[in-house]
Order: sequence, then structure tokens, then C-alpha cells
Amino acid sequence: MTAKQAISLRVNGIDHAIQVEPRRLLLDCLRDDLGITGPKEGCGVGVCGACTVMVDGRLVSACLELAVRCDGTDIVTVEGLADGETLHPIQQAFIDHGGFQCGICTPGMVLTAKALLDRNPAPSDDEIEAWMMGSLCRCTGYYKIAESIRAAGKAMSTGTKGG
Amino acid sequence: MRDFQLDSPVDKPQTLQLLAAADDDTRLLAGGTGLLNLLKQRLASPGRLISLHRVTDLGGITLDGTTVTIGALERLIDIGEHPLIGERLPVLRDTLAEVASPRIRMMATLGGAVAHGDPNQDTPVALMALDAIVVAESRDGVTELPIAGFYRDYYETRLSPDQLVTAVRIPGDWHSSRFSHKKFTPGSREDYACVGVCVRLDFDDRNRCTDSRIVLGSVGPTVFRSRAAEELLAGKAITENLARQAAQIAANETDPVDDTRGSADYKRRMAGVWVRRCLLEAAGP
Repeated sequence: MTAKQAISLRVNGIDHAIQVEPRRLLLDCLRDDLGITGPKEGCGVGVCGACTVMVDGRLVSACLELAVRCDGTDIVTVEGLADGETLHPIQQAFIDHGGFQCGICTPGMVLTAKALLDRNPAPSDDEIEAWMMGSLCRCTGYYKIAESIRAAGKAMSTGTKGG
Repeated sequence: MRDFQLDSPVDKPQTLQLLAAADDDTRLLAGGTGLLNLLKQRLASPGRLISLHRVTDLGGITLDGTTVTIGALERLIDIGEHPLIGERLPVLRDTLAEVASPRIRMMATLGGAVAHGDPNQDTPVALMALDAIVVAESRDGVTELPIAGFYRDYYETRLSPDQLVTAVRIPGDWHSSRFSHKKFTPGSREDYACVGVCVRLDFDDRNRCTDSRIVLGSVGPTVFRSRAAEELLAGKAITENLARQAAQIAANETDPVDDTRGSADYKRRMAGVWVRRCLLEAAGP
């Protein structure tokens, strides 16, 4: 077995110093080494979006990234979006507009939507569809998800809570 | 995934030094979206990876005269959104917008997309229609490889084991050329193409075709140009009948495999359909 490497990850504002094998996936590192279970394993091949996290502001499929390559980066998972007890406007909008059913895809959906709204606070329906195509909902609740994203965009632009 | 050693050079010279000493059990890892899938499925199991995630001197998108040069570690999403690409190479911008999903485009790099040698990649299809040059470097020097002859077989390129793709260069002023491309996906939009086509046509002032590129992806062991179809168009006006003949020639040159995107026979027929449509669209008003 190849020796473990020491890495440091800042996840949701908290610094972690850990030792991982080079082949350790970021997804397994977050879930099993750090106990951060927001990112889920869905397809395992970068298609479904359930494992989506942000690494230094970029969306990443944590199932297709090695933890050692994230040494020194700033990672955000769905757990890092709320401000204390106050949910992020995107999270609130998903609740208010029924943007989820079983919830497995939701952490990835919310982070992917955040990346969209950070770049474009008022996306058109086509832009939402094109951006969210890499996030699959097998309950097929896409209309409600798109509605939640539109509402969140409005809430974030006006500085009010989602809804 | 099998165990491996991982080296993380910080710049091009360090990378070339590692490559010079590497054996054939070593692979380069850029964005990871291609190779990590192969490792996870144990379709590849190198003992050593050279990861480029710390390398900072292989980026940049620049214009010199009419030549656009794109650093190998530029991410696909950044290339597609760069004003220079939108202004000078809209066909590349539009092609990149259809690669997988925004998340994958945030991870995947141009050098990776080119060097991976996967015939299902969309980007090489457009690059071949643009006569792009793959710039490869080893400690012995820089080599410029036209992308039209770059691919040998499934996941095989003309790169030698010590060579690193450092950039892709696109010479030429394409403002007067006519392009049309299609990524045909019978399933979901972020999937690999069933067939990918990119066509470039140049015309003289009497509307006769002076030069052309007819490039197909996902329907053979490599992305390829149908040179026989291109030759048929030389000196002629593009009529419906001529486009149909050229499309048939191109379709006959395909060598697809059965998979979830269609049977080999279906893909061959669709290749003909989309080459014809792209030719007529590029030649149209």
C-alpha cells in the first residue's frame, strides 16, 4: 500500500488535517473520514450530480476527484451554506417551493444552483435547464426545482428570504 | 481503484523531468473526468500518476496575429466563456457549451480532452474542423502535431510517453468560413454523442466550394476527417444532391460500435443524416 499523505482541507470554514492514500476519493474522504454526508454517491461516474461540492469556488464531482489533489483548498458542501440557524435563500426556496421529494439529489442541486445564481442572479428558464442538466432527480421533480431556483434568484437579488 | 503513487509537479519543467524518467506504467492526470473513470472501472491501472493540479504555467488564452493559443490546463468552461473564443472561434464556443454538464466543464481541461484520445469527446471534432495544432513538449523540445493526424486508435495518440500537451494552437482567420456542427444525443443532453459532426466550408465569389472539412466523432476508433467526402465537394456548389452524396461517403467511412446510444447501423445512418444537414446548413443563406 502506498504511504498515506498528509493533507489539509478547509471544509465549510473548518480546517481538517488528515492522512489519506493517494487513491482516496474526495467523496469518501468527506463522508467517511470527516463525517460530512451531504454529498452522496449516486452514479459514481460524474453524471448524476449527487456528490457535487464546491472546491475553491468551482463545482466538482467529488466521486471523480482525489482527496490529495484538494490539499490546501477551500471546500463547501451543502452543510456549509446555512448561516447558523438561518438557511441559505436557496435552501429556503427549495423548502418553500417543494424543490425536492426523496432528497437524495438535493445537496447537489442546491450547490449547483448556487454556482448558477452566483454567476447569473436572474437566469432564464433555458439557462436554468442548461445549467442544471448535470444534476439528475430520479423522482423527476424538475419543475419544482426550477421554480425554487427562480424564487431563490429573486430572493437573493432583493436581499429578502427565499419564498 | 488500484493503488498508485502520485506525483504533483508545480510547473512544466518539473513535469517534463518526471515524464523523462517515467516508464509506461505512468499516466498524466489533468482534470480527472476521463482518466479517473477508467481507473475506477479498472480499465486502466497505472502504478504511478503525475497529477497536474498544482501546475500553474500551462494556462492562458492568447491571440498572436490570427493565431489563438489555448494553454493545456485551461478548463473547458473558461475557454467557452472567454471573449476571444466567442469572437474568433464561435464554433468552438458552441461546441464546448454542449460538452457534458457545467460541473464537468469546470473540471475538464483542454489538454486532457485532446490527449485522452476518446473518440466520443466533442472538443476534438471542432478542433479538427479548425485545423488545430497540438503543441507537445518533452525535454528534447517542442513538437507541433496537426490534430488531423493526432489520433491512432481508441485512447491512442501520436504522443510519445515523455511528451506533455502544453497548448492547442488554432492558426487562421475563420471569419469568412461557414461552419455547422451537431452533437446528436438521442438520450439526455449531457451524454456522449451518438454521432458528432462539424463541417467547415470555404467558398469563392461564385459560391463554389474551395476548401472543406467534414469531421465526425463517436462513430469510429478516433475522431476523423472524411477526406473522400471533402474531395467530392472541391470546386462545386453545394446542392442537396451533392450534400447527400458526400454524406453517404462519410457514413461509409464510419466504424461505430453498438452501445446505449444506438446500434452500429443506426449510428452509421445518423452520421449520414447529420453530415448532410450540416453541409446544407453551412452552405445555406
